[in-house]
Amino acid sequence: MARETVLIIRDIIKTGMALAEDRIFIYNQDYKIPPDRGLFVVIQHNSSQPYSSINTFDSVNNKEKLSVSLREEYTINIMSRNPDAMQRKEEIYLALNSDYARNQQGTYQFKLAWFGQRLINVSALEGGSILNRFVIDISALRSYDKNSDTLYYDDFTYPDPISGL
Amino acid sequence: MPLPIVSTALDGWESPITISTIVQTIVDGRVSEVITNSSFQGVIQAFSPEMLSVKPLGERSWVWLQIHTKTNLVAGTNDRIIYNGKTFKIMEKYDRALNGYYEYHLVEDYV
Repeated sequence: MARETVLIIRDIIKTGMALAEDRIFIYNQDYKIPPDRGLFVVIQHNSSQPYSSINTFDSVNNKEKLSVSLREEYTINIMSRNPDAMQRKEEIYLALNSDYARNQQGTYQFKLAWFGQRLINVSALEGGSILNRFVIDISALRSYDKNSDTLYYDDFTYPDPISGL
Repeated sequence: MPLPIVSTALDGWESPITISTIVQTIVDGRVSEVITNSSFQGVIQAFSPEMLSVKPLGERSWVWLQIHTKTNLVAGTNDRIIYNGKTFKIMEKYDRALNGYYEYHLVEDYV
């Protein structure tokens, strides 16, 4: 199976911002975030909008060829108790348009929006914990395909002209 | 003035405690949990009413435990442990090595 888009985006941001392995992870895993003041980045998948779905027959290998193309929406959360998130939040955009990001898109054959949508300050959600937290929504265009065995017609039976069977 | 070594106060009160420590790490963006079993000598007891009274109102009804031991556990704040079949989270680790002991505060983990 192809590498998940969310993991590729993680690789891109991790490399672009030079983050340690335990500083950037995927959303919703019951992870107990270490109680320090440093920077964390969390990436979550929000939705996928299909815009193409194709089923064709590969007559050479006699396989069913399925493919679906999607626009995937992701949210990147960047947070810290110290000012790091506030000072480094723009690096998300820089990472998304880096050479490494372009190489990853070539390697995995998908398209990433060079710049996402508006960067929003959601620090207020954390209330008294005084966390600096920002979110950026980004889009990716990606196709998934699968080839599998299928039933097909390779023999035709003609009715007997006399008996009709 | 040297700090007093008070670890001898635990002698006679300690009993064997067996826990499983759950340590979370991030591997390729995913959480990986490593569970390590360990046994040590220590004193485990419930929080005193005074200790509970300083907790926020909604947290006083949770199960809070404290451990006093001469053993420096591998687990630290924010790690989870399994004790008597229940999962607890280490909320505080007081390193009193200079006094000869370590103190841990646990709260029952909700999942």
